Amino acid sequence: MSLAIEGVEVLREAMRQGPRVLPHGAGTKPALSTPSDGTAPLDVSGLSGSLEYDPSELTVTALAGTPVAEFAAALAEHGQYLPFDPLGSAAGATLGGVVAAETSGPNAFRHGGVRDFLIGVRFIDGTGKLVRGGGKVVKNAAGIDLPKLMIGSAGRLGVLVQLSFKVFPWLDATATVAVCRRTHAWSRSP
Amino acid sequence: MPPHARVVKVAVIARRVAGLEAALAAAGARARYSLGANVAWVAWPGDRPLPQLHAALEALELAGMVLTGAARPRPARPNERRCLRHPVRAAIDPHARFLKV
Repeated sequence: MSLAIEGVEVLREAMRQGPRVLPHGAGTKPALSTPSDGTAPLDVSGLSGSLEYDPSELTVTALAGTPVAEFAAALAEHGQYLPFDPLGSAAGATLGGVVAAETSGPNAFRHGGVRDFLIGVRFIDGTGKLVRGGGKVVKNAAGIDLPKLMIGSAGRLGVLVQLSFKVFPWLDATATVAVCRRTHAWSRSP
Repeated sequence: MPPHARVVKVAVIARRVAGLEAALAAAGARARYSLGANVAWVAWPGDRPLPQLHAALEALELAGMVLTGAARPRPARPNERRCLRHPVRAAIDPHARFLKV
């Protein structure tokens, strides 16, 4: 945890003095994380680890560079999971990348996407300030809804540092349904 | 969509899709699915009575809503996202340390 705090200070200093930056975690979405000329890549994958997890409250707080797979494994030990199916976990995607790119899988159709499960965020803004929005509990209505602002921001509004999610208990049973149907001519219209 | 067809929005679940497809095919109706097959948009033939669809849905423990009225284009509005962009960036990235949104 102390390493993470030092990491945050390094990031804050980089924001105060450095050039234009584009933060990235594991780099699993290069179309979003590859910097253009004059922009420096800012690696935040070192900000990794869960900070607070209370299974009875169904909430968890972790650093933004935490790999989704590692996060999911910690939840699975308590029979819980992130219902929006974060993509790219096998490739090493991080929680920050999932939020910044707003990537959800097929279960999002049933349970909701990233925006429905992110309840709190800490990020470093363009002046190097550590900004906090939302909270670590599900019922939180204080202040501007900054977590929503950061969802899909693709590293253009701040460097994500810490994220809080609500999680669900794992389902007792699951089933996969495949439906094969003929395609109608009218359904192929643009 | 076939001409004169009525549009019916049906809340559905995956395990009812096959039954709904069979019922619609028997009536010559068609459907599109959205939200991971949680919603079906049925084009019900204009020459078929709606109570027939109601009965078919009821047999599947489903319910639908008939959409009526003419479709109208959305009124032009200022781009809210664009209007918000400048004050948000001015507040949290005044020195342009990040790429433009």
